[in-house]
Amino acid sequence: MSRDHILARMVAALDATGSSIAERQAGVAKRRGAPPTPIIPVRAPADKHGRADYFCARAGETSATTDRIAGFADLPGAIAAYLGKYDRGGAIKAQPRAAFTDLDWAPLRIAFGPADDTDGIGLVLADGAAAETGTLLMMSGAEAPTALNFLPETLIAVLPLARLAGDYEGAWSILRGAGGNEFPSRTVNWISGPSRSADIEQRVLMGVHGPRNLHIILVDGDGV
Amino acid sequence: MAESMQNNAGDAPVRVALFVTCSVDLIRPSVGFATVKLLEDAGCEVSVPAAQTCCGQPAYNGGLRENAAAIAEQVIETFAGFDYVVAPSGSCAAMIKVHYPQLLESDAARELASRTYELMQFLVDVRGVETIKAQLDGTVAYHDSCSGLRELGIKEQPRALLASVDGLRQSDYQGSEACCGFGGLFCVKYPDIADKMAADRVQAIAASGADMLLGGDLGCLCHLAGKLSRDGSRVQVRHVAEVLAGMTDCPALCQGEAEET
Amino acid sequence: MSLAAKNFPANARAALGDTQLQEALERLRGGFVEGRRQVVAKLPEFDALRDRAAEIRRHTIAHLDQYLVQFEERATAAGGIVHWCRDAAEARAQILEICQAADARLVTKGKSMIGEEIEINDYLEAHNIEPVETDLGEYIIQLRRELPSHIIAPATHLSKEQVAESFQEHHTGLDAARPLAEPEALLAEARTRLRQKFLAADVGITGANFLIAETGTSVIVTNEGNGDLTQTLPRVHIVIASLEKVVPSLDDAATLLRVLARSATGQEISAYTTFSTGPKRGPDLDGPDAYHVILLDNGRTDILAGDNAEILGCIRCGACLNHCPVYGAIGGHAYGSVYPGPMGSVLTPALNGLPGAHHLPQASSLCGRCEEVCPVRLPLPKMLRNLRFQAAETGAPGGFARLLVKLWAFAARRPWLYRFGAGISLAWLSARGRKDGYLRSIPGLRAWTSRRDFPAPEGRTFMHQWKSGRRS
Repeated sequence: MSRDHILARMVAALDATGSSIAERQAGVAKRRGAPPTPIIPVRAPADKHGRADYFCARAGETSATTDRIAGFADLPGAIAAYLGKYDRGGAIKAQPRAAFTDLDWAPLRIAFGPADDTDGIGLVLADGAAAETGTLLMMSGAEAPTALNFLPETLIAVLPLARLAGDYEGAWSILRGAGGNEFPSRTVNWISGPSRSADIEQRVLMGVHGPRNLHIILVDGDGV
Repeated sequence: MAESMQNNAGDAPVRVALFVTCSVDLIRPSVGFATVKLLEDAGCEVSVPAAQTCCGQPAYNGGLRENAAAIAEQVIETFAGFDYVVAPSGSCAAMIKVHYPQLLESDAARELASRTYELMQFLVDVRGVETIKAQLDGTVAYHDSCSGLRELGIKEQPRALLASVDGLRQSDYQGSEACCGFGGLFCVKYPDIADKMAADRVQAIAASGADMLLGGDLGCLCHLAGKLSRDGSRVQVRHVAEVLAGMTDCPALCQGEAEET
Repeated sequence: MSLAAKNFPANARAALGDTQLQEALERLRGGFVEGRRQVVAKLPEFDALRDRAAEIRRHTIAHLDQYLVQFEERATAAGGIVHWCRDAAEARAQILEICQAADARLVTKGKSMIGEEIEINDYLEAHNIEPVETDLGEYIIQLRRELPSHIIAPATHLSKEQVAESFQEHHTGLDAARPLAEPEALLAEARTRLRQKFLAADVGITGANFLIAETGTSVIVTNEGNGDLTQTLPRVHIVIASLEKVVPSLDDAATLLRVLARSATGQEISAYTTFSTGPKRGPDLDGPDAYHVILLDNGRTDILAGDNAEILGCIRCGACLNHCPVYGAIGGHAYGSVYPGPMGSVLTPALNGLPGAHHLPQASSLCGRCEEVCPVRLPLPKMLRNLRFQAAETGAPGGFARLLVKLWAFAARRPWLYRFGAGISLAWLSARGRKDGYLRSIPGLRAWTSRRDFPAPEGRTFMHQWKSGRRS
C-alpha cells in the first residue's frame, strides 16, 4: 500500500539521521505540551479604541474602507450612507443571522441566505479580526455561507469591537471560544482587503475574482 | 615613507602571517605589498609562510571536496603558530574562516578559523584602526564582494577607513551589494550571464559619477576592470589596500604604463 | 514551448537577448524586491520571526512522519479522505478516479506547483475532462501552453500586449475590435469568463501552502480569491500537496504567514488566507460534499534521506528568485523546470536527478543573496555546493572547467610546481600585456576575453619578490 511504503521510507530516512520513532513521538508531544511562545509583533495598542484605530489604518492600506458605529441599530443607516456615497445600487444578500434579520432595513432591498452569482452586494458578520494587519476572520456555518464572502462585487463586513484581537494568535483564541467543538469550521477565511492581482506587468488591479470593494463597519457593542 | 596611523589597540607587536592569495600573488603583487604596509603601520610583525599557494576555494566550489580538504590541511599546517592570519580578500578569508570548519570538522580547522581575518576587518575590528593618513583626490565607488559582505560582515570597515583619506569622496553607487558576476569559475562557465551581471554593475558605476572603483577582492575587481576596459571606460580600478597604503603610483587594473597618472 | 533544463546555456543566451523579457524582469525588481524591502523595514521583529519560522520548518521535517500521520488522523476525523501517492503517475490516476466518480466534465484549479509538477492538466484533458486554471497568471500561461516562469507570478515574463494577443486568440465569440490595451480591460474579460467556469465546475482542485497537523486543515494563500471560489462552489474539493507542506499547529501557521507574504510580494499579508477542514458539515449553507487530500511523495522521501533535506523547509515564497542575479538576468523559463531560481536549482536536480539538470547548481556565483532573504533561512549556497560535490563524485559532465580546477588543485598542493608553472605563464602574459595594461585574448580563456579584457599580470609573483627580499 502506498501509505505504508511512503511512511516506511520516511521512517528509514529519519532513523538514519539518528532519531527513532519513539524519540520523534516524544519530540512532538513535548512541543505540543509546551509550544514555544509565539513572537507577536508589537503593533496595535492594547486599549479597545486604540486597537480599532490601528485596525482601520491597516485595513485602509489594503484598500478596504472602514466606518465606526455605536450599535447595530445604526447599521442600516451606515450601509445606506456607504452605498449612496459610492453610488452602489442593487439588492443586498446578507448572512441569515438574527443580528441582521432583526434589524429594520427599509428602504434598502435585502435578502438573507446563501450567495448566488447575481448578488452584487454581500453583508457578513466577522467572527474575529486581527488588528496587526487589518485582517477579518470568517467561519463557515449554518448562518455563514462561505461563497457570500467571494461572489459579490462589494462586500460589507460588520466587526463587533469585542471580537477584535491585536494579533493572529488572539484572533484564533476568539474563534476557538466561539466555535467550541466545531472549531475549526469547514472553512475559516482570513480576509485582508479586496481581491487583487499583480499578474499583468506587476500592476496591481482590484476585483480579480473576489470582491472589488471591501467595506468594514466596526460596531462598538456586541449585539449578537 | 611609512605614514602614521591612529591605532587604539595597544603597543605589543602582533605576529601576523600574510595569506597573500593566489590572485594577488600571480596577478597583482602590489596589493600584497600594500597589505604588508598597512599591517606594519597597525603595529604588526608580518611573516609570509613560503609554502602557501591557494586556499582551495576553486576546488571547493568546483565540487572537488577531497581536493579542497587536502589543500585545507596543507594551509592549516603552513599557517600554524601565528597570532593571526590576514588575507586581502573576503572570499579567501571566508574560505578559511567559515568553510574550513565545515569542510574538515576538526579542532585544527576551527582553531585556524578563529584567528583568520580579511584585511579591512582585521584593521578596523581587531586592531581598532579608525583613521588612515593618506591622500588621494577622487570620487570612489566601493564594490562589496559577496563573501566579504555576507559571510564575514564586511561593509562599513573599508568605508570608514576611506572616509579618512584626504581628498577622497564616496559616490552614490547603487547596488554595491549586487554580485558582479565573477563567482570564480562561474564567469567562464556561464559567461553570458556573468557578462550581463558585470554590465549592470558597470552601468551603476557610470551613473554614480565615480572616477575610481575600489573593492577588497581581486577576483571581482579583475572582472569589473576587464568589462570597464573593454567598454573604453576611464574609471580606475584598484584594490582598496593600494589606496589606503598610499601606493597608487603603479598602473591601475587594465591600465597601461603610458596612462599612469 | 518546452525548454529542458539540459539546454540551460542556450536557453540563458536566448533569454539575455530577449528585450521584452528583460523589461519584464526589470519590472519584477521594482515590484517584489522594493516591496519586500519596504515592508520589512516596517517590522522590527522580522528577523526574529524568520528564525522562528526556520525552527518550525526544521522541527517539522525532523518529525515529518509523526506530523503527517497526525494530519491524516485529524483530516479523516473531519470527514476528509487522505490519499498517499508515491509518484506523479499514482497521483494523476487517483485524481482522475475521484473526478470520474464525480462524473466531472469541468474542473477549476487554484494555483498549484504540485499540479504543474505532476502535469495534471494534460492528463485530465486526455481523459475528456476540461481543467481551467483560475489564478489569472496561471490562466494566461495555460492559454499559451507555457510553463510558469515564477512560482508566485507565473506570467511575470509577459507584456500586456502578449496577454491581449492570447485573449484575442482564445476568447472566441467576442468582438475582435474590443479594446484590450490596458490591464483593466484584460482583467475584466478574464473575470467574466472565469466566473462562468467557477459556477459550472464539478470538481475544484487547489494546492496547499500548508497542511496543519493539529487540526487536519489545508491552507491556501491567494490575493485573487480564485482558490476560494475553486474550493467552495464545486461538489468535490481535491487538495494536492507534497509531503513537506505540513506544519504542527495553527499558531505555527500564523508565524509562517507573517513572513510569507512579506517575503513574496512585499505585502504584509495576502488578501485571502483560507483554512479548510473536511467537507461541508450538516448545517453549512455551502461547501463541497467531498474533501480529498492527495499527499504526494514524488521524490521527497529520497530528499529526506540525503544531505540536502533542508530544501524541504522551503515555503515557496519566491524571494530567492526575486533577489537572484542569475534569475534576474534570464528569467524562469531558462531553467526548464517548474521550479526555477535558487530553490529550483536545488529542488529540480533533487527531484528529477542531477544528469538532466546538471547545469542548475553550477550556474550560480554562490553570492548568497538568496540565503540572505530566505524567510526560513535555507542554506541555499551550501545545498548548491553539495550538488556540485555530488556531480563530481558521480561523474556528471564537468567539462573543461572541472579539468582546469583539478589541475589547479594538483598544483596547489605542490608549491614548487605551482611556482614553476606560474613563473612561466605569468612572464609570458605580463610581457604581452605590459604596454596596454590588459590582454585582449588569452588561449583557453575565450570565455572571458571574448567579452572582457584581462588585466595584465604585473610580472614576477609576490612570493618570488618577497623571497628575493622586496618588502615594500
